[in-house]
Amino acid sequence: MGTEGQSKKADLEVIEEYLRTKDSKHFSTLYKRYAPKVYGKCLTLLKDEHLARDAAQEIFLKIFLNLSRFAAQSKFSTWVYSITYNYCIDLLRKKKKLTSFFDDEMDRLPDIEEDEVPDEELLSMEVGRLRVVLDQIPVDDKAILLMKYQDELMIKDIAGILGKTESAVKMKIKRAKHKAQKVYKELFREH
Amino acid sequence: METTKNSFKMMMEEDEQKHPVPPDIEQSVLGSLQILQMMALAMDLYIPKALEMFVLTLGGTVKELDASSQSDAAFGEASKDEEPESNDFNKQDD
Repeated sequence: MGTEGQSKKADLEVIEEYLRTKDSKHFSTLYKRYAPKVYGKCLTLLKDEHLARDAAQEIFLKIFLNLSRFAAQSKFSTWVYSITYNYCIDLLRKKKKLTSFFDDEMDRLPDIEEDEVPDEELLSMEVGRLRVVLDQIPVDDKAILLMKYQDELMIKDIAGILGKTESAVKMKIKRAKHKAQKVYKELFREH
Repeated sequence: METTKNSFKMMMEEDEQKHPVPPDIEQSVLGSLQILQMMALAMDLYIPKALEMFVLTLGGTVKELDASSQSDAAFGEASKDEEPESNDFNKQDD
């Protein structure tokens, strides 16, 4: 089967064939589908090309070594992203760039009284400005906004990735949106 | 989430174009996977040998184990052969 045939196959089919044959052709198909996204996320979160390169390599090794454990209860992409985010979060923790990265404090956050920032406000932001805003907010806020709006992960999936409750995740997203809005207003003087 | 524009996704597309994946990652991962698969295969093949080595380091000898298992087997077969004879003797005595 050629590359065209491979590209049409669903992830699960390719995974099954890879596990059965261990053929590098199937490996390449899955790799090509997800490498740009995985590498892009590593680069966005780690902000270092060398670190991102090493991280992407380790993440793909993890993915393929654990492929037989993928239970297909979620989408393959969700599983791939969860490994990617967890790897980057662990790396940032180890580097102590953030001491309170998604820590237990997140579960105890009190509800903020301000109104929720409408999704459209973030989604319609000019890309260059959004990039600046995301670079100004803490990495854990950036990560959770990327999970929600870039990968369009469900709240329960994000909760699963972070090992937090759904209500804690909702509150974290709400706060992250407020921080993004505040930075946007400060930087671009829109009131 | 119904919207025609998603700046997050546009940002991701821009990043993918600006920062393509380094080409050597794929070969590196594939190479590591093949090495690990070979190691796993080698482990499967050589675990029995590794166990023998473990026994040797504990002071046992593999030959003794083999010999004892062989002698056990031989004894088992011999006793099977001998039993009817003894029964026959018993019968003769009777």
